Amino acid sequence: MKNIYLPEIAVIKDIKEEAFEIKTYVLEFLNKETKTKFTFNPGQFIELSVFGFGEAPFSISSSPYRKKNIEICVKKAGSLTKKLHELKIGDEVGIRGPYGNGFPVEKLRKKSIIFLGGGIGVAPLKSLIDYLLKVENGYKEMYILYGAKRPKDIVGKENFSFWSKKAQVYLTVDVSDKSWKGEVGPVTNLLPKVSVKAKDCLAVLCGPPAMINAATDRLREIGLFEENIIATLERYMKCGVGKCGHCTIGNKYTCIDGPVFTSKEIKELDKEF
Amino acid sequence: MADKLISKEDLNTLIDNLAKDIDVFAPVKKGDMYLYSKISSSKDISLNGKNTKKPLKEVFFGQSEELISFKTAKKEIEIIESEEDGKKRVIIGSRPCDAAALPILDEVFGWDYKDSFYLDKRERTTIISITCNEVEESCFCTSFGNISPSSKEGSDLLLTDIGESFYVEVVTDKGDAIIEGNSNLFKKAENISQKDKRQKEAVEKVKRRVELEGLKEKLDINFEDPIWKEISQKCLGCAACTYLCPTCHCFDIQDEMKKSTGKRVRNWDSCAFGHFTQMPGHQPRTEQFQRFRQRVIHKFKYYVDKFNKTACVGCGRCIENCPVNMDITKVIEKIVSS
Repeated sequence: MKNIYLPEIAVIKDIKEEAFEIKTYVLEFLNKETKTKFTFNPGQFIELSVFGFGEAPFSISSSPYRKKNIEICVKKAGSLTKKLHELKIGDEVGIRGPYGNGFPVEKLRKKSIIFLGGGIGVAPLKSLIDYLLKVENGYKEMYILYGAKRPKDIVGKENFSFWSKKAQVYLTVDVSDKSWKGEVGPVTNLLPKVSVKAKDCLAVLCGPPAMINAATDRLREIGLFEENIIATLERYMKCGVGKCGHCTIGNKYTCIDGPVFTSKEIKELDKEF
Repeated sequence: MADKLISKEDLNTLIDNLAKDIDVFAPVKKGDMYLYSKISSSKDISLNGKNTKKPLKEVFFGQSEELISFKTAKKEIEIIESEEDGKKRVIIGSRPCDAAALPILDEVFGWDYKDSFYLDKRERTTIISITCNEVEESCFCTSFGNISPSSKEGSDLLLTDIGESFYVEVVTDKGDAIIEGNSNLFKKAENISQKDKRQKEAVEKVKRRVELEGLKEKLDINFEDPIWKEISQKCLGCAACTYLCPTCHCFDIQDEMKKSTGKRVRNWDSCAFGHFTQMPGHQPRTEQFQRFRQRVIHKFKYYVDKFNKTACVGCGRCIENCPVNMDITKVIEKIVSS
């Protein structure tokens, strides 16, 4: 029987500074066969090993169309991510996965889509946005609404300017500074800029629970169906394979049944969310 | 797969024979407690003792268990797979409640991804349980329909002490193989009435009972009931109940380093701890009552929803070992009557 906790070695090929204490890592498997065979759906995650410091789950932020390597976006938050932020190009890490269900990409095709992200929550959305931009008839129209705490916390500024060529992109910050000329306030404040046929529209959310709750309420008011409001949830997925118990919400395992749930499913979970 | 008899002397011979070739685990008295331990001789075993301090799960799901090891050299990492020794194993003298916990654990370690560490040990282990001679005041196994001091759930053979001999009931092919391999030690079964009498007596010794009817229906709807705060007030969050529970299976994964070599281990963890769900920017269970609620609802509702099994066997360890005398049977009573 295979050891499901066995990681594969990957090399850090590139590191990009994305925002304050947030970096993107380009990871490439050492093993040639794994490198060619590794596939995933947007919204899936990996368990990343920093050997000697343990493992932690990260969403894959690159598109599945991109071959050879994958990207993850990492905020310096705990001991593992602090160590990861010290690693250099050429250093080796471990990867298990991909895990989780990912976004329902077929359901999203040819639809009007509102992306709503907060902070580092843009990471899993980026994988899906880049995928839909590339796939034929990926979407009908696309709105990308994003909020960060401060201007320097905006993750991947160049992504937004790239996306703005094909989608309507709106940014906001909670606290502005002199450099900021845009909107100030919660990301849900950007929703009035959206003009869609609600019945034909899906929304994809990633951010802190308070943001997801607020956004869900507003989207329902606009007229979106509950099964068309899709959120990817954050839980401490330690094992990633439905065993260790850390990520359960009610009778669901976020690592296997999620991390992507519809608002309808979230409502059926216990109020713990 | 006919029932058999084995004399007490021959059982010792069987244990000694088995211990020569394979790993034998049995309850062993250590200080003032009993623990499932690997034995090399039948002299070490204690079949009449109290319930073991720690549950049988430990033999399949170690309190601390290596998953991989690795070496680091400059930038490069070498991963070394942790392998099981592959030896056949026998457990002798497990309590029926502990054995009954194994099919419950099988569900979580076997659904979707297969946990090789647990399943491999399960596969190569034969479980010989024994009808409880003595029960504890905290035992409440008979509250569950399929579990009792002489139930066969999860066992391969069940022994019942009938005086000079043990009456041997064969439950599975695995159990039968033990008899086949040592047929000279087993005799044709007789004294079935004595066996039935002993089993009936054992069942009657269990005085504590909790009414489970209506519990699941209550838990389906009472997540936000103020009763959770009330019944969990005493809880210290020490996790003794979860560590010593035969069905609790949550674990943490940690790296342990010694210079340039390290190992990744999984350690028993507990939903009673605050850090269990703590993430850098989010904590879904900020208060102790939420953690207490998680433990109870997980055992009696979530596990039932998902695997159609209750994750409790009534072994009583959580009652016996709680430092502030929390009592799961009282908790259930309060929930049902709320």
